Amino acid sequence: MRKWTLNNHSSAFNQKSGFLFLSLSLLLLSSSPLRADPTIDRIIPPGAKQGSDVEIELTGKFLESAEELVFEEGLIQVQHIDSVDGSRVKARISIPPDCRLGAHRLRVRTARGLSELRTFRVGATQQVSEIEPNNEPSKAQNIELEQTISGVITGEDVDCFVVHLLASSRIAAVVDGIRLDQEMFDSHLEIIDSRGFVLGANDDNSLLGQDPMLSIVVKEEGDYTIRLRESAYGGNNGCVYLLHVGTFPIPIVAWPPCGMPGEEVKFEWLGDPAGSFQTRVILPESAGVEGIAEIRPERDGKRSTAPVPVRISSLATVVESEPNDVPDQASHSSIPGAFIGRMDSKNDVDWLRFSASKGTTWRVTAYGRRLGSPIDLVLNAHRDDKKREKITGSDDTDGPDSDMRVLVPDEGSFLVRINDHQRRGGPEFIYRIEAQQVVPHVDLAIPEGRSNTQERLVVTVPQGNRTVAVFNANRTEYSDDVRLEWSDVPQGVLATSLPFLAGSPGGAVLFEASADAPLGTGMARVVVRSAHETNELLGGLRQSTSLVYGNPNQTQYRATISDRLPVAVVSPSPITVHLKAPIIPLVRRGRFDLQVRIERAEGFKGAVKLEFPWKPTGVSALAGVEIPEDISEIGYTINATADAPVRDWQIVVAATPKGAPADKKKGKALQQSDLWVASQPVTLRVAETLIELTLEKSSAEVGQETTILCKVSKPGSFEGNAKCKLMGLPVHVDSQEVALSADVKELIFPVVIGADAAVGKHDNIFCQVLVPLNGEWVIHSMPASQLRIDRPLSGQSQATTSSDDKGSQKLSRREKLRAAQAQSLSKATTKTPEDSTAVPEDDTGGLKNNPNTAPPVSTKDSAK
Amino acid sequence: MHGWRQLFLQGIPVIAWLAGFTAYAEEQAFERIEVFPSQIQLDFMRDQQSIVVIAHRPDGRTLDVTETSTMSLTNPAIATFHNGMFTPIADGSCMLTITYAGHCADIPVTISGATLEPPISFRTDVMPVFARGGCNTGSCHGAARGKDGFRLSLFGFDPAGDYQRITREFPGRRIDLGDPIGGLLVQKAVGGVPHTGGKRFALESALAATLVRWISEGAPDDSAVVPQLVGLDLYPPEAILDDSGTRQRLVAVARFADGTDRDVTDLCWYGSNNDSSAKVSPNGIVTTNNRGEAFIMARYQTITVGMPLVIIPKDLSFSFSEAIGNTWIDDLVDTKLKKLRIHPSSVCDDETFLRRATIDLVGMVPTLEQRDQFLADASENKRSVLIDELMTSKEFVEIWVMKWAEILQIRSSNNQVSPKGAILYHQWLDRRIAANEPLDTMVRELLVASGGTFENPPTNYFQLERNTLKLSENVAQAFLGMRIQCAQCHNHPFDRWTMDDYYGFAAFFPQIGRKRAADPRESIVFDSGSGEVKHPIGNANVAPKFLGAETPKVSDRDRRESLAKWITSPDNPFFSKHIANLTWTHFLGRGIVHEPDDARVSNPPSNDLLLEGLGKRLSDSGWDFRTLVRDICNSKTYQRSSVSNESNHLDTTHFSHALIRRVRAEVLLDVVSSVTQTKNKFPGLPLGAHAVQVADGKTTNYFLTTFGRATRDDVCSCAVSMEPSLSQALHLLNGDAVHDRITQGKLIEQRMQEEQNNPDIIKELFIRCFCRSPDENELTDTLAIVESAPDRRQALEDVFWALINSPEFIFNH
Repeated sequence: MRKWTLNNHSSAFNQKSGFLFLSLSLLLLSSSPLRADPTIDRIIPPGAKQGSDVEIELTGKFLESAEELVFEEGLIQVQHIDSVDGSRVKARISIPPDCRLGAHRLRVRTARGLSELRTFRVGATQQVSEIEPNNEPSKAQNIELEQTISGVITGEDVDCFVVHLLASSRIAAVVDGIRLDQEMFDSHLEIIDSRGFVLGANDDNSLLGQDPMLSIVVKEEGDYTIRLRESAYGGNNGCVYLLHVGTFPIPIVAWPPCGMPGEEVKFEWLGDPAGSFQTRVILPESAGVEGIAEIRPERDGKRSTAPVPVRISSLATVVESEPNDVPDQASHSSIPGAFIGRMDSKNDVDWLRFSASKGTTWRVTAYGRRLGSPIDLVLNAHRDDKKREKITGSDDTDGPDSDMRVLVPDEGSFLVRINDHQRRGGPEFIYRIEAQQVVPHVDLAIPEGRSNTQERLVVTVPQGNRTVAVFNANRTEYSDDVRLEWSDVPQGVLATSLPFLAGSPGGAVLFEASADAPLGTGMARVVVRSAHETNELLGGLRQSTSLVYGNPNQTQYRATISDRLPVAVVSPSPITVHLKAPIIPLVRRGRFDLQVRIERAEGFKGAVKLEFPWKPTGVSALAGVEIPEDISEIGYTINATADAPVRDWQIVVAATPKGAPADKKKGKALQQSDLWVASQPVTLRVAETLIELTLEKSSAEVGQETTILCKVSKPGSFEGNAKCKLMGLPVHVDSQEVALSADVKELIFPVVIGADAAVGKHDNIFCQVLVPLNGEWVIHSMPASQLRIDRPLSGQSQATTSSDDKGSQKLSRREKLRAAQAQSLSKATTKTPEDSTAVPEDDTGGLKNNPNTAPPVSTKDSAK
Repeated sequence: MHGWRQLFLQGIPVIAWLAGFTAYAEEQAFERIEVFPSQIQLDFMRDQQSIVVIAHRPDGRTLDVTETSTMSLTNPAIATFHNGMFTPIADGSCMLTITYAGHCADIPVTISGATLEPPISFRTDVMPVFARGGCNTGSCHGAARGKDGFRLSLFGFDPAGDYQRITREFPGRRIDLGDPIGGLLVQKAVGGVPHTGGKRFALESALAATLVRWISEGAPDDSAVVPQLVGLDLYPPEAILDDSGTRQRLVAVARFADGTDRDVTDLCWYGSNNDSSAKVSPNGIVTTNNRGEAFIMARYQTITVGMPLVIIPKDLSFSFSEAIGNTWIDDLVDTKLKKLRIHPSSVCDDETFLRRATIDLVGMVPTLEQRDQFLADASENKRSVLIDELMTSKEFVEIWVMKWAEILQIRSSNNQVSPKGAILYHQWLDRRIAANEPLDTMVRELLVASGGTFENPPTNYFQLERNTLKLSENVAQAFLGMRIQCAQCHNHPFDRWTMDDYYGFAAFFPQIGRKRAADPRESIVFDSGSGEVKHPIGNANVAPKFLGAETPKVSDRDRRESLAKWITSPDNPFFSKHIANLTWTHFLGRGIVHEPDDARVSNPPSNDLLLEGLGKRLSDSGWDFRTLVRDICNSKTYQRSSVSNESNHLDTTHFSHALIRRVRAEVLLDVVSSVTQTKNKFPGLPLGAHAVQVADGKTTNYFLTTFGRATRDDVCSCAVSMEPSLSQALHLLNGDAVHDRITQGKLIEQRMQEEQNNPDIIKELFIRCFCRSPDENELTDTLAIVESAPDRRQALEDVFWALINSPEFIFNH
């Protein structure tokens, strides 16, 4: 088998190095050796009624071998799943009668991968399908009240539905569009009467964002048309919707907008066009990562289809009492605690006083838009003294809501000023402020990569192999090492975290599946603890997943946060990757070639893309190196910066199989694969340099031979001779390698400037030093210097180029100055550079060739 | 003795100045004479004043009789008159009596400070020399980097900087205090040494004398606050002159903030906007040439003023037959036409009117039924009834929404205004126009708009242009009809706007705050309460100031509120006239001020009384532009034939006949669709929508682009191209716009299936396209072609094609 490296320093890979898992001969490969995560573009219908059995069709890519429909909560039962072809899957699902209403997180697992996250909506009303053509009121589709219509808005499409209403009756309509998490779909809803007059319209609102909701009371009996379109007359096949039509209420906010876990609360529901109403609700014990529950209040037996968010928190809550428009009237609240209030009218301002000790830090979080309120909250913290000097402020940190950290400057208390950014007010402009002391905390998350995919946000581990996931550890008031504790990983899978060290933004976690681990998906949990004896619980996973992107610039419109990580065991990978443990260090400003060996399963002959998924601080590597089809070993170059921390790190490399020649004929899609097969971790030592050299600046003319002086600025301690070479020389400039022993203080590189060398300053000339250690070479790159190449002067040139032509040219001012300088120098330095005698003449092969006929303008001169 | 001292000749009491001007020995009878200025006030020893005497003939023509008048002072001991100038002798007051051809006029003369000799002022005396000498123009030392090592501010916008450069650069060389004449400043100007700009004035001239005296006094800077120039009067205010070499002298008087005035006739720059009718010499003598109208401008310091001149043939015999049934608009138009000795064309026939009004009012051509109905109607007021009917249609609203969408630049813009934002903005405008909301209310609502760009769509106006200076330029151009861009870098050379005015106006906009809303496509526009505009000279904050008006108090308020209030105030001299002019331009094809958003001193209205009247009508009607539209369309001026007569065939600016106008892009496409029975398809609109309904200026369509639809990137009215071009003709001839639509529409096929005969089909095609039947020749010729063709359908389609390609179709006439 051929070996191939990225540089001239070939490596001797230990062919006998062991591997944890099975030999390749045991790998059972499916018909296509490549694996690609399936994708889901559409789910039709996007939702169903409680207590129904429905067939749904999922369209996407790489769906050939769909094996599992994974509802993360497990509430919806999957009866069967069938791949129709690579782009379609059909499944029959059962929704229990008491199934939670709302969005259910859903993925598809195939034999080779796990899809991105989508959602499926469970509703309470009978669902019917849209029937085209229904673009005009005259062709509107007949529907009944208390129905949900499942439809799609294609390009410039308008969907009309007609319903018969009695005089003085009420009609409400709510659209699930962008909230179905399939497409950037901004819908617009109207209700028109039989004469075409628009009785009500809605586009955006504070509760549902881009999804419209509307409710009116009609005066006369008759047919009324509900008209739905994309707000800018756009639309496409992905703009699916569920339109709920009925007599249900559509409040937008609750008062109070919060409650304790499990508490029964009497809520007033505000914002419904028919007026507010009150109900009692028993709140859930928990409400997800964000602590916000979705409540669907009932009125007259009809339940709202637009859930109202309510904050679930154990914090003691104080209710605003007006007047509190000036600091002296500020409402008092103890902390940690919460405060709820309302911008009653235009230009209203609320002041709030919190008792706190000097020097403590508090996080003050505002909930407004997140609770459905139209408010655009602005927070400002002020000193509680006569001057009311501002301490800090916040606007729009979490959407329109705000969040600030207040370091209490005075003993006793501080003030918080709350207002709407646009000075608006009204009954629905409610808000909740929470203040809690900032405590050490670490949130773990896989960073979202490319802007419009969920790539690598899940873990798929091939049977009998290993993969890696890279996490960010977002530390608050904590900067030390942490360790992770994993649970609920699928059977046969072992999660091993490499150390998450202080000073590093995150770390890598290896997932290893045994060869007999059953194919399946698990929702893994993880907690973050201090790596020290205290074993303090610091946090866990807080994984954000973007669901919908749109203009401008593929901005995120919909996202969800989860505390569990999907880990799927998939069929074996066609490759395994081995990383040889380094026996020499990577020195600062140095380079090291990681020795990587790829083993391909029988039948797989494709190329492999190699990556360095997690980089220790100060260490970099090429973004992705492709190993050609016929190569199995490679030196994968990594580099260290001049200030890389000197310490040991655990590292891995990851490899992705690419298309084999046979697969290329089947189309581009088959060549895609986003599998990361990881190597076993090895220890990499980042060390101080073994020697340091300083290259002097130099200059010479075209066609000359010259020397470049190099001084040892930090003596080395090594045995044998190091090899030194000038790098970065321009074309037509040649130098020779020079040997260097530990006791040498200076060396000279002979340089020949070719007749065609480019005139000018060449700034990136540096010296590469290879120091022998443990039978290998430790590669150092020394700081760069400059070589200036000048055009030859008239009459003095040794160049072989047509100097005669140039001799007749008029000299520039610079050339004249240089000529004068050269003349004076030639008088002063007619002797040869005697300093070079400091260099021992033994085993300096390069120096023996150093010509004594070096030109009078030496590197020493230019260094001066 | 310096040249200026020579002006102070004394001891000549009253003279009759008889040199030259003997051309009108055969004096006609004159009605009266007028003397300008109406008084003479001399405030210090070197003060002086010239006058101009105008004699009026009964037919309105005027004659400059200054040199042939007799003048006498009731107290000759206080002033003297020499070379056309009055200069002081002693303090006192008296009357000056001017007599010509039996007519007499008196003006008061007041002398005060006859012995006072204030020092030369750099700003008041020296700076005008540079302007008069042409030294600080853009092609000379006023260039951004100066010329030949010497820089002056362009048209003198920075006197302090000019003083610095003259007195501190090259000391002893540019000016030499020991040798006032020897410095380069004087020597170059008088041609004493080689000068790229040549000799600007003689060493003996008053201009040179001012420079020399200033240098000899030590080249001082102005110590105290120099009285600010507040006005410039140019006399006579207007004149109707004979053609071919008649001369008219001008007198320019500058007024200052301290109440003093000064004769600056010799210090002004003069220009004419129509040299073929009247030229003006550098010293302010107008010489007439061909028949026409000219506008003579004079600029002194920062102020440019002008006077209108009418030049008519000397021996023209003209009698204006008074028209019956004139509206107030027609009266104002006729008044001007009378002055110009132009007869208006007659009123057009019913078919022409029907087509013209339908295209202008609703952007369509009349249907066959509409034509039949209109022609059959024998009532006298049927045109008024038609106008009212058309104005109630939704298409009328759409036309004006489109026009306002151009003014408000409604379009999507990368990452600033999303297509949804543009549509919401358009819908907002549509609702306002449809509800006939008063224009002042609509503009006020727009200019003070705050909130989300989806929630409150007029806020998009401030998203589409986020640069404070450009925004203020847009507002001035869109709502006041003025292009103030020049004044960003220097005082406007042909208008009254200075850099102070420019930055004062821009200071209404720097406090507009913007932030992203919850929807990434939406922005929130708000009053941030902080932010200032800095004057590039001195880098000081500039207080908000209305253009040509006061500095309002704006503390603690959204500055835009006071601006919006001022712009839409009935007292604002610009807004109502500008909107009225825009409306007028739509129907008459040319603005009273042309281009309609380029009102400036040097581009005066062709009929200022008419413009004033229209503006007043608009504001008096409660800013209901429909009233104005109704008045315009009911006027005979709008309804005149495009066939011209001998006296008006050259007139394109005074509305004596209808101008033939190319139909604008959107309307033309709609008309083509309508006559061919085909439907348009635009992004974001259902099939069959009209091109005038397109909300987003960024919508692309080859036809519309070729025919000059505005992309709304620019506020300029010139963004809508109404010019015919070769590519338009080629597109109609060869493109799919006509040929394919004729085929797709299947009109000919239908008529053939209905078994109609060729003459009927041809007749219908003529009526569809031109709103008229073919005349006998047209019908005979066309029939001959059709009946000799092998393929009847093909031949009839060719006829249809030819009609659509004819100028009569593409133009509104």
